[in-house]
Amino acid sequence: MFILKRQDVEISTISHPQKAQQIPILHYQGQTFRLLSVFTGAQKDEALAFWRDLTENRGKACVLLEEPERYSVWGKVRLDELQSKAGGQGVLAVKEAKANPLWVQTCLLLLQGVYLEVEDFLGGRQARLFQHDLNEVFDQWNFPQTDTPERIEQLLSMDPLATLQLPPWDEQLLNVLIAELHRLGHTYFGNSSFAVRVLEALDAIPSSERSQALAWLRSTPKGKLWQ
Amino acid sequence: MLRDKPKSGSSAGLPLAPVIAVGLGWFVLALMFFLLFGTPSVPEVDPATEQLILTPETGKATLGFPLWYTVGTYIFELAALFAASLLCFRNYQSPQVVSGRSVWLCFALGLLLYFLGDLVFGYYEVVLRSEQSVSIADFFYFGTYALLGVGMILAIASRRLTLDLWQWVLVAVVGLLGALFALWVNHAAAMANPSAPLLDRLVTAAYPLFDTALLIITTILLLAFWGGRFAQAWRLIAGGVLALYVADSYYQYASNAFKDYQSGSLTEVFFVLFPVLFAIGAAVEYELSNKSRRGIRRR
Repeated sequence: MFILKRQDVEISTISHPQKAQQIPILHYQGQTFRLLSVFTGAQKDEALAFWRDLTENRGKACVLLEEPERYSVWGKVRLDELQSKAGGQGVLAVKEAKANPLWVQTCLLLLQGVYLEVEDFLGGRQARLFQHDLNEVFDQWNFPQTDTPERIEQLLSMDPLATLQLPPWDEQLLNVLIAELHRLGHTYFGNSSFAVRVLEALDAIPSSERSQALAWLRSTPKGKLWQ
Repeated sequence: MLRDKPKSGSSAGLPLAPVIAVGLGWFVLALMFFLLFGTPSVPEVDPATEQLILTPETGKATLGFPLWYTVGTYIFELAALFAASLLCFRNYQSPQVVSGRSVWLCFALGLLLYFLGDLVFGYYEVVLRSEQSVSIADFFYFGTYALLGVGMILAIASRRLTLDLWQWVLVAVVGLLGALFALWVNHAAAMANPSAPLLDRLVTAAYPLFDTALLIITTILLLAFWGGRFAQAWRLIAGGVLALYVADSYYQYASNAFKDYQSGSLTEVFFVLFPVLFAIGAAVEYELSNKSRRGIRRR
């Protein structure tokens, strides 16, 4: 069992070889790992199952990082390989393709849904607090195009279905966002009852695509939290 | 952006408007009943012997409320408590309820205990005609305070909550005023009835102080979520706690200041207002937890 605490490890970021994007890298005893998946504090069992599946069934070298409100699974990677032009051919090849725009739209709708739910139910004061927390999440995982408050404001107010300017987030970041949004919602509401109401935000997607979006959401590591 | 899809769990059973109408109507009826008939002018008759009850010191008949009036006041309180408890249970059974199910379970059980406490109290007062101010009923009432307190603390503890300094000052002022008034009532009661046994004094003094504690918690909730719809339900809960505080304070004073005090004076209509406001608060939260939010998305 390989559970690490935050104080045991160092987390830094490196620039992605092909994209103007930072990837979080975990350093532990001279080895390097990159982020694969994030779980909320209440999902210790899921995190362990995911870790076990990778290590035992797929023979990957992975570690599980335990933080007060979060579990994350990291896969071993060699930095020189990651940064070489071949990129991503390391121990753990990770999907690096820019995500399907529909997935990004789905996540933006969820993000706005949680924000509106907080503002509507808990008032402006909690909404400001939520923006602050959201900013921390974006910083921590190095989401591109979230560096200024104005940009976050824009993400919260834009119509994701009508814009041509979707943020360039890959699937890994979307997985992080799905998990973190649920964690934040749980922190603000004290329970998971908000998820059902937030999911209604996806009704804005035309029905031809909505079933795809929901199916994709279910297929993500943390999507089940929302169903 | 429009949708007409019926949503599962939307306002099953009882919509909000009738709850508000019936609740307020019930309170108005109670108020009229207390106002019209709540003047003790009838010599008390012992139902067993059909003799006038005489006070030992003066040998005169004791003035009291007629039995039907006393029973009427109990019916107003008991029905409101029972309905409020049921509405809180309904919230507990709704998986979507915003404050969390455990909060409403505590409230439902708390109100139910108060209901049982009133039954016991009424049995002592109406059937046994007991003069003691402390009884088994107090155990039930104390249970109510404990459960309401736990429920409110759960509502706070499970959330991310920050208050500014001025808001904490406001909470402190509310707590201080509540406690000072409770102490003043306690002092007045002690002056009026210096011979009261210590246990009686402690038990009656405890109520307004418990109310003060509940007021402090509801104030924190209200300030933290000011402006959100969540606060709508909690404003009513806070009002209910305030009503209980008023009723408890007056009762503590009156039961010491007046010889053989019989419950049923006008101020005790607040004992009806307390569950009525809890009931409406529960219904408001149920409504806003289960209502679809399409169409209010602002862009």
